[in-house]
Amino acid sequence: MKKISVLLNNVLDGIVTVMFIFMLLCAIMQVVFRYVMHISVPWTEEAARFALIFVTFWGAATAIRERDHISILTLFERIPEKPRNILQVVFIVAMGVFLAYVFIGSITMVKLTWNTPVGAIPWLTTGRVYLILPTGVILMMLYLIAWLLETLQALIIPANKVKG
Amino acid sequence: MSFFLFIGVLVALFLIGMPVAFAMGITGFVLLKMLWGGSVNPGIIAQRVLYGVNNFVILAIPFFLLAGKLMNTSGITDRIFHFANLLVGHLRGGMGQVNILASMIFSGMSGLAAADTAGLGVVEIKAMRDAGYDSDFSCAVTGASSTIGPIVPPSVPLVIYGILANVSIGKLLIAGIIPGIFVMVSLMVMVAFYARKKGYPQNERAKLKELWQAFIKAIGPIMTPVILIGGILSGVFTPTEAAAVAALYAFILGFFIYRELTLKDMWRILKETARETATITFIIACAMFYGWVLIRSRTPIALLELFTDISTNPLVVLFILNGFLLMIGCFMETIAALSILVPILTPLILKVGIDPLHFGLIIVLNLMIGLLTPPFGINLFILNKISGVSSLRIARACLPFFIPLITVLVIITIFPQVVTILPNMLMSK
Repeated sequence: MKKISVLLNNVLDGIVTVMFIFMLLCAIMQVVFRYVMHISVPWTEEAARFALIFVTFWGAATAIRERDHISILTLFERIPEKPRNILQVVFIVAMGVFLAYVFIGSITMVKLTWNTPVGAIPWLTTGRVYLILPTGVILMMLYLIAWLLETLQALIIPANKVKG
Repeated sequence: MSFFLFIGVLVALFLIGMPVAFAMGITGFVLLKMLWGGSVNPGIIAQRVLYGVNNFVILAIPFFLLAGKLMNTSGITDRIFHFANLLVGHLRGGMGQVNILASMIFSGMSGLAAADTAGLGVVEIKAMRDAGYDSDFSCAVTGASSTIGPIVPPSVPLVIYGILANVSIGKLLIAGIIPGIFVMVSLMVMVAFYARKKGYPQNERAKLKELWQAFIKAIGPIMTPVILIGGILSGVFTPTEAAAVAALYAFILGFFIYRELTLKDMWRILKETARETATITFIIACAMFYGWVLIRSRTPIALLELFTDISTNPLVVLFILNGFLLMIGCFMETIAALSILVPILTPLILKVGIDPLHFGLIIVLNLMIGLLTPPFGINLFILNKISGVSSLRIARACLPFFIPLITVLVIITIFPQVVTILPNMLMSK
């Protein structure tokens, strides 16, 4: 189980990083095409934007795993452990409900735009690009569940016993 | 008024630790439920969140982040510091001046204050301590000078402001140059004043030949802002493209020319930057949804009425906002504060007749000053981590530097020309 999750994490990180590199290359290609080769290539801008959408929503999932999302923890960390963990559970559930709404909404969006062509890239449709959102949300939810389980475990079994 | 109360509660929510992006999304969601009474179309939420980041302009943020990280290797910060040392080390307060100039040069490559403190700050504090300066003063100068980072281009906060307030990113970036120089000069005056009182040492004036050699060694990194600003001003690049080119340039410099980076470092930096990007752009995505709901809730209009009851004089409004923003800056992280406040304040700014370009620099400078104030000043924590001095002591040592910082804030508030002259003169439209 542990091996699988490590593998999954690494694969996910790898995909997000590759998309990031692709995004950078698109922006640079845009400049190169325009000034060096004097041709205008309309798909570079679109591709870069789509890559950013990908990095945002899939990357947000990895950020949940790493607890990297920007939050102000100065007060939070001073709350005693038990009430803090209870608060954490409330936060996670609220985040989950919000993501659930985003998920339902994104499915509607994908359905509505499934056959709408994307301007400059012939084989891609808007709906396929929008698929990034529900898939990213599912990944976020998976990591949220893992976080929830961890917090619940800490609530039920106090930290000193886990270490012992 | 109930909406204000409600937003107050949610601000309190993330003050106790809810991730900022989600706190904004949930605020928007609950606000929407209150407005439309029960039935919320989830399609709207998804659409706003997704549209929020489907924007070529936002791409400047990850590229600025990447360029800053690639430049923040020991080899490059050393070169910059060495050059600054030979250039201004002989002035009164020697190493303090060097610290400020080095931060200014590095600001031209990096878009976040925290990054400047964490990378260059280590070099600066060590050099100042070695030269016999006390730790408190060293930390204070390092912290105060890192506020320049997001004021001069490149700047992540200015790009975020531009996206949320719908202001030209290119103009905003160029507008930061003069205020950035003002901050630098005012801090240098303060250091000179301090050094005179405390009798801090100064170095011997460097020989011209040495200075030239140091300049040649540092010319690579120094060219970054030249490419960036020159590219934007001449219209060769859009700000996003300029950011991408700067990132590529930083990579070529670090990997091929200075050989500071291995492929393994590169992969690690890219992976970190991708994740950091997601944390920022995900906030923008949620902020766009939140801002959209906010406008429909008529909250900005309520705020507008509240303000216009007091005064419609732009200067009075700006001074009230300055007080408010300084206070917010003490409690809130920069990106969070921008995402919450800009959608609320923009209608007010426009209505009272304040140039949003002008206001962009004001809000960012305010929030940068907030990085140095307890209880939540992020720079204080970073300085504490790298120097071992307690953050409260650093905060106290920073106090005198609020004089130059607030002075510059007052100057740019009263004279919008300081901000707007450069972009209006040099850029069309």
